[in-house]
Amino acid sequence: MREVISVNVGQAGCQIGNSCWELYSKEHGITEDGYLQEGLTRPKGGEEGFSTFFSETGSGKYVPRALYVDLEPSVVDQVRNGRFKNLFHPEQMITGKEDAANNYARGHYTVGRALLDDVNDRVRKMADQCDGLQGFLFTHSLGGGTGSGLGSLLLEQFSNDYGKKAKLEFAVYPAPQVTTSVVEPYNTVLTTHTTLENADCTFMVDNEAIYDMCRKNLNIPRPSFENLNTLIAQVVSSVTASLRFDGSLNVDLNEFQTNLVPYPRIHFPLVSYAPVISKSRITHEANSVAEITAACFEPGNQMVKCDPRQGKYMATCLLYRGDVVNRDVQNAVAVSKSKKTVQLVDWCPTGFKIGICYQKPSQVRDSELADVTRAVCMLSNTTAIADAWQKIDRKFDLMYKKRAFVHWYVSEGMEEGEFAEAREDLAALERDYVELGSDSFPEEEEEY
Amino acid sequence: MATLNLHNDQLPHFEKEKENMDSITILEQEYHIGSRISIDSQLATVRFIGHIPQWPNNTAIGIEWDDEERGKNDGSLDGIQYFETNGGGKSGSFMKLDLQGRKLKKFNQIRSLFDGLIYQYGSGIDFNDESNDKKDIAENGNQLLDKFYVDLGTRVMESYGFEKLARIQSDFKNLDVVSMSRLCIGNEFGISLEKLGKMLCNLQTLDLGFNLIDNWNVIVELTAHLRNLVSITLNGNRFNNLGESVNIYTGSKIQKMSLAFCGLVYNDTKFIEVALNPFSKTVLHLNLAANKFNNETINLLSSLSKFSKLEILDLSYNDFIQIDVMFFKTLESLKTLNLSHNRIHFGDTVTGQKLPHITSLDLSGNQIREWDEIDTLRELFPNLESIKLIDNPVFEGTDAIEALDVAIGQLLSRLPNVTKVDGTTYTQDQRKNYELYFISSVSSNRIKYNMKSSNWIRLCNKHGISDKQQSKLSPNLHDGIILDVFFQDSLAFKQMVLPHCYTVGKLRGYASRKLGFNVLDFKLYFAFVETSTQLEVLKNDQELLGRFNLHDGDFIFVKQ
Repeated sequence: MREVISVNVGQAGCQIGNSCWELYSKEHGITEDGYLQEGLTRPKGGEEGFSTFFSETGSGKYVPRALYVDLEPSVVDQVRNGRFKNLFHPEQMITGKEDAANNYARGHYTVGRALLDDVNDRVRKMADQCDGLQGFLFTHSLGGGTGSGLGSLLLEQFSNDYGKKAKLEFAVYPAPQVTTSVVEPYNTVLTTHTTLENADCTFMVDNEAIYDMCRKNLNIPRPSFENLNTLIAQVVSSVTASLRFDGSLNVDLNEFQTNLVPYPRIHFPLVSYAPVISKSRITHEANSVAEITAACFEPGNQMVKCDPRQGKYMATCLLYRGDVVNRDVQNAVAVSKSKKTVQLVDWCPTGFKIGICYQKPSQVRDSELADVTRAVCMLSNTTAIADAWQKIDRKFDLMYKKRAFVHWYVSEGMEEGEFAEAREDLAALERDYVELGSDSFPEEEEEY
Repeated sequence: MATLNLHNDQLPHFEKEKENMDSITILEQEYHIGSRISIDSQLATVRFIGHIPQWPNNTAIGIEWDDEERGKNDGSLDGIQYFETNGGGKSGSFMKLDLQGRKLKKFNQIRSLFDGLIYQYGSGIDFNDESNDKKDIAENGNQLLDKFYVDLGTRVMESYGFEKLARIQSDFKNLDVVSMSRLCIGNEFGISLEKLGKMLCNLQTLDLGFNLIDNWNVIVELTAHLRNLVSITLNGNRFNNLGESVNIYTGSKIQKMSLAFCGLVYNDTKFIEVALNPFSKTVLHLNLAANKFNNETINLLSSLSKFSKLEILDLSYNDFIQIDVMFFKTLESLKTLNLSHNRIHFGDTVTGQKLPHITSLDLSGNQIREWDEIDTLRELFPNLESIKLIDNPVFEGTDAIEALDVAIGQLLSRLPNVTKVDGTTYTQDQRKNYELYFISSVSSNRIKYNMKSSNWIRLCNKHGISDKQQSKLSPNLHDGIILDVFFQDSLAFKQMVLPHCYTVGKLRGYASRKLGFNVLDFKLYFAFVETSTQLEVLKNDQELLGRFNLHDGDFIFVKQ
């Protein structure tokens, strides 16, 4: 038993959590109220893998090992009253009464801290039900108050309480297209600083990249949060598929993590997913293994906007799903490897790491994504992702130079010194990436 | 493309030594007119075998490419027509054969279905195991992939599960999805159908796209023996040969069938009717994209009315210019219709007909130019819930979010039941905002809209706005309206130009002067040109004429 507890924090976290659990239920053959679909005698994907994400009650009902936490009730109320209200136990949803007002300090210090004991109790209960807790999976945004503040607070807390358990994060990186507040850069920098030491692996999801994918690949001219979240859920599902499905066929996410995280701080793999294709175009695409593999190396299929051609890969993991055959994968990898744009750092011996999950991807109801028989998710640790930090740091600096909006944070009991400290930390992170990308054996000068 | 080339290298080539035979005979053994052929992984149909004067010592084979831009001519060479093409002047080619009449290397060898299966999924079969029943049949020099290995130079490649995957897949009973597209599979099964049926007993989804199957019989028999098959993809095959046993009862469970790029329009008129007959009771989802159907040839599809369960029909990438209402009326269970990338517009569609069963419509990439056509759409599809209209001329210039919002407002206001536009779901609150914005845009003349249409009245009623009051907002208050004023019971009328800002009282005074009546002795009524019998009284003397929503050509009646 290798249970994983999902913790969804804040508006974005809860909404993504929703989309994810809808998809997980579909993939495992669970109905909206937590029972097995008709005609199934046991959940799809094998008992062991399944039990990492779901627990079984005495009555044969399956309950997600998930926790929804938000400082204000409206989003979680949608879960409480929505289609999946019977899937979850009411105790799995914790809400406060006062929102974080997009303020990291409120989420982390004042309002958020009031909720901490409650969350700790519930998590302790859920952890006690597990035979061998493997770790936690966080979904939250970096820009919002609850996601950034309370999210990092919980990560810190779990770090203390559950020391060695893995803590993975799916973090939504703020984007100007779907922005909610001006202080997003502050929240992002502050939360990243706090979680840098506590999270083991952070998969970033840039709303702008997802937005562009919806527009270009799915032909949705005006994507809503629902569209974005459905797509994000598909990616999250691909990453977690190796945890959720049985058998030695499926590689353990931990094994990937070993490769992906060469240093504890450099734990931000770039996620790419293919195929992202709309239902009306599906007849025109062959979606062969070669095509979807090549698509993974295209910037248009990345979850974070950055240019990997400018950076170097420290590790590349390809997770295939569904109907693939050895020959096709071998050929596809050979072709990708020969690409000039795929540059690997010289100090890492592994080129590619490849895994397979035999279960094909599913689609939720009303999804614009086409039904496909195979998909691939690429996790790569590339130095190019430092672009994302650079961008947010620049925005941070613009405001912080004039100390704009800082008083909102100070009035919640935060010290101004934390801003400078956090910014420094991020600067160090940027420098780390530059250093890792440079050759360890510089070419000798021909003349001195 | 990468895989295609790799396949190509691995295909064994013809090297039969039959020098003494007449080259044409050799070819005719292998191919006949109408049979399918793959050259450099591009598919074509054989149209001619014989000699042409340009190549006196060689045999020529005339082919028509599926890719209509791939060829060089229309089957004629130096003024002599050797064969006819369906696809136009660029789809035909002649291929030269070498002196012995052998085929060139680039002619790909045709596989049997079973060889294709072994090639694709059989890499883990242990051919040395005597008990393996696949051993005897798989002798075509398949290299056994012992180990999953890619040469990455000095780098290490780690892989997980691939050897096991190969072993699992080699037991064909484990396969529920099989993709064998672009493997040059011909009409042969290569194994008895009973054995194949047993071997693939759990198969649910089968993709045989872009192969060389041209006999429909193959499909009928295959689906009859694969008992659990629910989805079959046959894109890019050209079924020139109907076969014989198509009328037998197959008991297939096929729910989803894809026949895109099959050139169905070139088949003989009975083909679709006869060929699809065995599947008409079970198919829910039928894909007929890119088959060159147009409004003249839609009668080829008339047999689809027999598909009692058909819910989803894909006719994208065809050549329709309008929606054939009578045809879609016969498809009674149809819910989702994809007509994207045709050339449809509603300029001259006759309304009055309704297709209430269709709730989801994809019209992206068509030729809808005017917003008024959307009103036609509303009448045609009263129960539409989801629509796609992206890439139509009417949406031009909506790259900016603001312009897009205006366009979505237009759409939502004109289509009352739609909740999903171009893949985005709109809530009732959002709809309300869009509709109010539309109403104000129309009222201020930024958008032209017929303010007497039932839809306008519906919108105004819904939001509690008097449709008459709206004109108050009209900025051109001083513009005149040309009205026909009738004087009591006589047919004599006078045309008058009255400004919007005239009050009823002023009109009354004018009428009294003209008629010599006392101002209090008569009443004024107005009527719209469309509903001329329905008189409404002009009551309040202080009211502006503009508020009654009068337009050019409307009437004023004066009655004692």
